[in-house]
Amino acid sequence: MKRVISTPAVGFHYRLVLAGVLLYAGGAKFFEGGYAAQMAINAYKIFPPAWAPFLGHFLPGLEILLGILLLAGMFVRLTALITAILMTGFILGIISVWVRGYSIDCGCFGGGGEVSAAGKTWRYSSEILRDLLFVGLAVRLVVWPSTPFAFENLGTRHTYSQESPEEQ
Amino acid sequence: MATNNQGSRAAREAAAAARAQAKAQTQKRERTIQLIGGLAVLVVVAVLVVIAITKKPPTTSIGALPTGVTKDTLGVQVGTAWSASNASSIPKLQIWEDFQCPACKNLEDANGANILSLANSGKVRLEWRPTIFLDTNLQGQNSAAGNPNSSALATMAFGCAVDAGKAEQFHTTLFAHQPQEGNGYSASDLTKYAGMSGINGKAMDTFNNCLSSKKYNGWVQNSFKAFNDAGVTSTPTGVLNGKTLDPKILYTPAELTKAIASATK
Repeated sequence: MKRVISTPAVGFHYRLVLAGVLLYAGGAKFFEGGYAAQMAINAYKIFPPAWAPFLGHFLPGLEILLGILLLAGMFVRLTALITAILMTGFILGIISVWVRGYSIDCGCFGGGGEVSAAGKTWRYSSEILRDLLFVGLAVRLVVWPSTPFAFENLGTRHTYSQESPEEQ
Repeated sequence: MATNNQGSRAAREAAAAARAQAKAQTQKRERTIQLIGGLAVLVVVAVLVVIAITKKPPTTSIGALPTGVTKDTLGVQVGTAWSASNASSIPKLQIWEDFQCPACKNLEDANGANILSLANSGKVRLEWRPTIFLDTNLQGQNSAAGNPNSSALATMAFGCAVDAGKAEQFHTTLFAHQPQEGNGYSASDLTKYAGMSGINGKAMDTFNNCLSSKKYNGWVQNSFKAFNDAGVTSTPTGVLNGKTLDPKILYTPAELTKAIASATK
């Protein structure tokens, strides 16, 4: 299992999946109009309302940046680490609204705000499971960041062209 | 042996030098790539910041305000307590509501008459604070029904009714005839409800002009901004003397009456 997961080919697919999720989620939120971003943040009742207009753009903007870096394969380890931390933060946010008894749309892919309490348990638990999966993908890339078709590889390829490494 | 040794040492040294050079080259290459990556990050961040700043919700100037509404809260103040000599000792009840919100209609049905009677007997300083967040949530359905931005239109009409001195009646009538969520109020509905609220004759002409010219759009948009800036995310939200009320208290006449009484200094 470990041998398969640690292969660069698997890492490459993880990288692309995570990049796709981040770009989609970040883009959907970042480009929403009006007060949507602000309301989604406020619904969590975690941060002071004055922070909401900033956070409502900062978090999706960060997701877009992380998505671009993963897609390009630049600073993969650091990017994956920040992604894992961010996703863990999202999970904690969802747990926190769940524990406090609020019924909100997580606003994970745009939207957000308060919704009816119907299906709350299923909604929150599936969102947490989904985000845990993303944390798993990110952690794998932190542990084994080397993947093919990565921009950062351009710096390390074709090193000892005159000698084969065995000679060392 | 000796020559061999020397030869292989020279070869080893040459190989070591080549390796060192190659390593230096690699490091240089890595640095270049990281520099390019770093610059690309800066460019992306700059672009995102510019977009975030330019797409901020448009600010509409407040413009005209309905009779009695102040720039301070942009709310519609109801009842006799506001002008009482001991006004500051009478509790202040502010209710955020959206005319399209079914829960606001539930509040109106459950406790609306009681709230108005408390306001009109001077027991509470009642303020209705309009918001229009459902226009965003119901955008698709409202548009399909031919009534886009219906909460905004209904609230503008409410402002016109305030000018006509029929705030309470119009408020009650509107909730009594609230369309099914998503259908929205049409302009002709709103005119009809104005008539049912006792606005007629010349006052009706004024009302219609006020509504069709969207006189109170600036008021409505800015009250919505205040709603978001206050971090309120649902309606109805009752705020008694600055503290958000438990919905159970807000919806229950006896409980709310008790809470208001105990907040009276």
